[in-house]
Amino acid sequence: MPQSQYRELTVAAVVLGIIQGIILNIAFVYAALKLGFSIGGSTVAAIMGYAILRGIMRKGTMVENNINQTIASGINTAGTGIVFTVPALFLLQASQAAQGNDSLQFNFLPLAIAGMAGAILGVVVIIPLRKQMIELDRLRFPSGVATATIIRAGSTGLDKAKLLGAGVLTSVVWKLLLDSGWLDSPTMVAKWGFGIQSEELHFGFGIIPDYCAPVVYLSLMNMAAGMLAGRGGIPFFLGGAVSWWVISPATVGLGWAPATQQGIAVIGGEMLRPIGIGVIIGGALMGVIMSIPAIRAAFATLASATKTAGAGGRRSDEMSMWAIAWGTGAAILLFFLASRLTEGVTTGQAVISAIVGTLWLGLAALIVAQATGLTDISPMSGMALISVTLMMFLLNKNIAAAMVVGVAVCVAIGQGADMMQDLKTGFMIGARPIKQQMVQFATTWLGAIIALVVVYILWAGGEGDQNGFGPGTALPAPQGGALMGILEAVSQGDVPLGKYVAGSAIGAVLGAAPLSGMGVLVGLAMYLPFSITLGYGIGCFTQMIVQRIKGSSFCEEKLVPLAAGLIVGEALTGVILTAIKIFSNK
Amino acid sequence: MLKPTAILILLIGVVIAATAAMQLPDPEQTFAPSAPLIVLGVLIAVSGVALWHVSLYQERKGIRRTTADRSDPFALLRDIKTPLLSLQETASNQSTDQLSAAVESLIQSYVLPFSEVRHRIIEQLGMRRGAEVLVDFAVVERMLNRAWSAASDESWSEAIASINEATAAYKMMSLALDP
Repeated sequence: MPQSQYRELTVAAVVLGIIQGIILNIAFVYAALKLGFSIGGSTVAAIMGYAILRGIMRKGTMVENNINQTIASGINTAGTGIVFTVPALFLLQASQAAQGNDSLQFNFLPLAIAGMAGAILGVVVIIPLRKQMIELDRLRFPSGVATATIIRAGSTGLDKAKLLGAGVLTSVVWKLLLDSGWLDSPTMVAKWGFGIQSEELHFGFGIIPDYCAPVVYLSLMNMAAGMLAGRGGIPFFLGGAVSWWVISPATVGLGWAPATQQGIAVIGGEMLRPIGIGVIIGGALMGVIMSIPAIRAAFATLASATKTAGAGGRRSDEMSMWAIAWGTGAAILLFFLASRLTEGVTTGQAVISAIVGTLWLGLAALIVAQATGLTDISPMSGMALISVTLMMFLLNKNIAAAMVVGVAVCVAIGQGADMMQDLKTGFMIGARPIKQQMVQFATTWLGAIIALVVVYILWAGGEGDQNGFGPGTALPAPQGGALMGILEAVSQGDVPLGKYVAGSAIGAVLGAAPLSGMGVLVGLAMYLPFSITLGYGIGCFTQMIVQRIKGSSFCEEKLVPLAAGLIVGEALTGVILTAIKIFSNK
Repeated sequence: MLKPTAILILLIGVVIAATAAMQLPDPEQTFAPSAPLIVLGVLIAVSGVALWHVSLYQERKGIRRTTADRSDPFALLRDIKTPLLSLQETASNQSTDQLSAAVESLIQSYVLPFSEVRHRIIEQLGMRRGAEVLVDFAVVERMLNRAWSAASDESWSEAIASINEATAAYKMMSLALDP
């Protein structure tokens, strides 16, 4: 048999995957704080993998790129679990502090350990189900298939590397320009209703009333996120358009809010935002209910995986059960440590937290992986809400302790789904699963730490070294806001319950629609300022027009690398500017 | 027509419910006086969602009627044997381009059609034996995919090695299929 020199698990692929994963993680954490949803990193990593492996390093195979993409998306996805949960703690602490209550205390270390435990557990609980989900059930995993298509299409990648670089450069220059304030023209905005103010382009021209005047957030990252989503992002845009162009004028017309600047603040802050939180919660929970067929299939998978565990087992293409058992044990220990290190948690509670948390986490990861395999939609935020609420009751309403479990669960379910998507990609291009499993297992925990550091940095970038994100800032953190709403409701009961209930009912109906994830998207659009939704919508329409004129492959070849560059450029600049600001203040 | 109508009804319902939800409640009250309107809007939206599901069900029924597959998975598994073994025998004389094309042809002609009807294997052989066959054949498929990738990457030796692994996995599968 001829000797094989086929490049697969190489140093270049691992290093590139880690670097890409870190960059995407930082960029997408920043983007998620702004938009409220994560951006899948696999396709971007696969495209950039070729751009660098083939375009710059002049080598690289399909399976090597698969290793790079597996690592990058694993590290990136771990950040999603953090950014959906941890900001709620900061927001709640600030909210309580404003009311003279400083009882909520939390530290970096337990959250970091919980994130690491979740990252490891998410991978290990899902590995034994690869054969069942991918080889027997042949779940679709649409994103995994899309990534495989990109990898199989191949290319030298040099053009993509140039487009990526151009995107990064453009975005950095634009962000610096906006941040400098040189483009601001508040006098023109006040006089003519046209101009730039606080990074937003106003173009109501004094004709359209302020409560529905179009304002576009001039963030290239925001528009680029829309370009990546294309048609899929339209419900998000529609949610904002209906909120501000239909519901808002109707509210003024009915006399429920005055047509003044104060009225606009009431419409945004006291009406649309709490309803939006309710819609997110209802949509997310309905997402879990709509996943019931997948949940049933997940249990069937578990049962048949036990029966078929030996099938094909004579080949050593899977990680050994010993390695998985050790990983599980280590992660449970980390879980226990994270809980025990949290203020107010006894050893007994930490044991409960580790055991119940691990069991729930395994189940949640299985459910989410199955749901992702069937529909490509991950009910992550819904599962996070359920996890935190469940643990609040089990841990005597200790918010910080419940959040430790929430962080671990949220990171884990993201990892489980991501691992399966990557394994599906690997299957389609003939990768060795054991190599993918090993690299994700070894590197994914990095993502939780990096995301946590970014969240801490961004929070400290606000006034008085806090409030760097949340309502009224450039980073509204809508998922954190929704989770905070739940935490407040469970712990204090002092919330706009009527708005939450009405929003939840609307979200549940939207979540039951055949377009998966619509409830959460519309809720996010209601929560966020319209300028963000409008900018995002412009990106979506741009992609759709380009796709119609130039075709899908043009979008994949040109638009995706450019958009990825725009996102990465602005996000990194945003994080670096914040870090510089903190450093110079100190 | 049913789908656009359903979406329109959903939109109308959501707008009514969300607009009604905007009213602030009176002091000390949880719900605003517009609460009945919220319920009405939600009910309209629910009927829109239900209609949307009905329209999709009808679409799916139509597709199912036109694409019913009568392929025999057992025949596909047996039929791939000759071209697969033949490819293994002749592989060392072929270029990477030829290997890539030959593997692609096998995948298109046998592997993908089999994946459409593979559930019948479990139905007929039972879970344990059926799973054995399917998992072994999945290795065949993955190794053919690897052979295609390696050939496309111009890694001739890996393509040959992967074809050999696919053939070995096929022989394993044959033992499970006809013990």
